[in-house]
Amino acid sequence: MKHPCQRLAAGALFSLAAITNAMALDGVEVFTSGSSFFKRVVTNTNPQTTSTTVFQDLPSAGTTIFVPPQTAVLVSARFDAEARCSNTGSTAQDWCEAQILIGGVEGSPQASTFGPDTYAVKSTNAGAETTASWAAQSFSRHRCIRNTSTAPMAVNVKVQWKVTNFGGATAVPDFWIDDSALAIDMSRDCTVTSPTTPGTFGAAAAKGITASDAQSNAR
Amino acid sequence: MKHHTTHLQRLAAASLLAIAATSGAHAANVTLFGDRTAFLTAIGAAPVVTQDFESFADGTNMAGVDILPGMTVSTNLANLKVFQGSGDKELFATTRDFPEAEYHININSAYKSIGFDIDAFDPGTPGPGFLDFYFADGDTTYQGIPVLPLNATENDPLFQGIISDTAITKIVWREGPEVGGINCCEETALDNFVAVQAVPEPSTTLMLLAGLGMVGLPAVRRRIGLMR
Repeated sequence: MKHPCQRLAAGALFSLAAITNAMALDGVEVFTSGSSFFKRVVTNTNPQTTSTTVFQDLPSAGTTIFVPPQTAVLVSARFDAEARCSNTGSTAQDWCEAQILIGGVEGSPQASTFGPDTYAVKSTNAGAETTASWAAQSFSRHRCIRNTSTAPMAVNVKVQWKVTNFGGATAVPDFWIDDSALAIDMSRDCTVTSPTTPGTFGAAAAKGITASDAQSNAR
Repeated sequence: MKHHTTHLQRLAAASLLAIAATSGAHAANVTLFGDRTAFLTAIGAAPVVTQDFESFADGTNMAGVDILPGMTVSTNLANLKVFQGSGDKELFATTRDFPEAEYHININSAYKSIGFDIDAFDPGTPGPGFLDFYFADGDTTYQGIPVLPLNATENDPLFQGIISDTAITKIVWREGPEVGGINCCEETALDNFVAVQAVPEPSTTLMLLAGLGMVGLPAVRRRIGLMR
């Protein structure tokens, strides 16, 4: 027997999901750049936990990089860690989230910025996950940054985390992270495009040429 | 009661001294510049010291020599000398026989605004060089700043400038990797240094003097008491 509020919330989510699905192409972005010229990795072996329900900075998972003058660079950030998300006190479909901010803006895909389908690093599996449910997790975010000035431009890159207590139970999920690495890469001459037509293989498929055909023609 | 007052005074004095000693313990507030005109405009009418190496003889060994008051340059390469290039003279490290080539600008005075040119950045270099700024407060944010080769030459150098609210203790310039190998040709030289004259912070000096004064106050009172 579900609570009316839960049904209402579920209905709202389904409606939003349907709208989002219809506009799915709007969320497609293609990033292209030249060769990589910069890499920085921030690692941390100290385990950390949170039960915050609003995004907060994950300690020791952030840094400031500098975009060279008069360049457009692709900033790619990948985060990986051991993680667990448990709430043994609730059978609700709770989950644990993370996002990567690049220059104060969530990198693409902007799952947390353009909800309602937030980005779950792990779910509590409706209470089935325990404090022994560790597993390696990884995700990446990307953003073109253009520095039109004549001076290096400081860009902060950081991971934020939170839990979603979807069921509203007294017991909130416990998000645990250990052995993390935030790897940041910069490459030159970034462009980002948003395709207007769907295609499995991008431009080649949109023109009715399969990727393998394109390779054959090039030979 | 007298003893209690003295203890409090000592505590206050120690606090002031501690504050004076650690007054730089905040993240440096920094502005970077890639344009000399913009840098000079930003420092305004502040008195500056400069070094263009023209007063030195070609080939002068610059190891351990102050290029500006309280500022020396060192390198991991064998020699650091004044070099007469195709244009004017510059500070040049040779010969490049290590995978990494570095210039260390070691600063022993409280400079907060420094600018200089990086000459002759080989446009064929595949990777960037890196700049590292070190501060009195230990802030490590401004390290690993990539500097891309933008066809800079001796006559068209890359200017690097910094204005900070915290004293700069060291600047490291790390040349980019070589074309076709790691032990090849020298690439860069440093030239045309300009820095706002180093002046101790008034607030720090005042706090230090106040702290020292309060440390000495009980002794003065004791002497006055003995004289009575």
